[in-house]
Amino acid sequence: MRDPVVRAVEAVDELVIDGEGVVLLGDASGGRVVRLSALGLAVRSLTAGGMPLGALGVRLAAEFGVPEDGDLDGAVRTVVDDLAAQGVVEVDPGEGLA
Amino acid sequence: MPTVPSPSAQKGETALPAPADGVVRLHALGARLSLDLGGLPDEVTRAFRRAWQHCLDPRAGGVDPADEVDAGAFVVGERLGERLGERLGERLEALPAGDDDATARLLMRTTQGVTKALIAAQAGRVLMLHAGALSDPATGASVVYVAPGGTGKTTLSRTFGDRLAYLTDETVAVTADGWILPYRKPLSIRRDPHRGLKDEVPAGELGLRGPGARPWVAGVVVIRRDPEMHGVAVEPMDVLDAIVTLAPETSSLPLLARPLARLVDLGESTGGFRLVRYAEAVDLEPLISDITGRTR
Repeated sequence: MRDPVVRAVEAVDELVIDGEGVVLLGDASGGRVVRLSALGLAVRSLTAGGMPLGALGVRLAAEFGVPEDGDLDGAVRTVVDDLAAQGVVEVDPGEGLA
Repeated sequence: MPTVPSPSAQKGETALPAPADGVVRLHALGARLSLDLGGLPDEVTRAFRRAWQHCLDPRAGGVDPADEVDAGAFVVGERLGERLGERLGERLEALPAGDDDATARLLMRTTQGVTKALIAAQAGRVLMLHAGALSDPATGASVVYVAPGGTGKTTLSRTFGDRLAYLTDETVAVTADGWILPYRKPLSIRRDPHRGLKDEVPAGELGLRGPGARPWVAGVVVIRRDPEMHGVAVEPMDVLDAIVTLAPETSSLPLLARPLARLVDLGESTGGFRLVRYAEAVDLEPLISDITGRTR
């Protein structure tokens, strides 16, 4: 089973203030701003060039710690799904490690 | 005597070709637009010239005509529909019979079209907010009130426009150094009970003041009218929350250079964005006076 690859969607502009931020997505036809927590910013930063979900979880755990219930994979998946729903990352199930 | 002042008669301006017969040149939002009234009945043409009278002065758009952006032409007759549009080569004697609101509807659609064309012409050049604005005629200190359509901008403009200069009830264009480019369009006043139809009324006919000193942004508030409110609630907005709130009320934001920083700069240079909840526009008098009383 392949590990999905997470990739930050290219933004028009980003702004970080006191560890939190906003990202402006869109093109000439219009824009949309999404607010990001420190965790969301970290996911975008780590996945700028694409990163398998498992590797992303390891990097996030190193920075933010492991969830209290120990379900790192589930927590990372939830975060990534939320960011994907807001259009700030893409998840490609067809790439990654076998 | 020409209805539209000749730009070439103004000292220091670049000579522009005179508009053709039936074409009115509008100046707004730092741009010029040719409003083509060709083929329309005289009565309708007069209604258009009356409605747009505050955009006829070559400097009404806030910049020297030589620095205006060209927004092209807007052909009003094309909004009459395909069948009548084909007859634009000949002058119509009257709009279609049986529709008492035909002129009002044409004016309303034209205002929307003109706004769209002006915004398109300025895309990527200036920060544009879906907002109204009033200005102290002596100092130019201006309050900008941001809100979605139909939620209080026009009412606010009318309420305080007898002592403050009316700049717009629709789109506020802000230059990189904080000046406002006025868009003194006719105010779009909803006609009850026909909630879909608005009357386009020039500011002067509503007793609103004309501009004085060059307007600059003294304060930006996001307004939320709540009939259940008692008094006024003013809350400073976290800058990131403000950007999330303001972004949907901008036009062509992605085309600006450093667009998010532009919003931050606007907030920081005006004392921060504030969210204002109120029931009646008149209750905002102290807030409006505070902002328009500032000095640059």
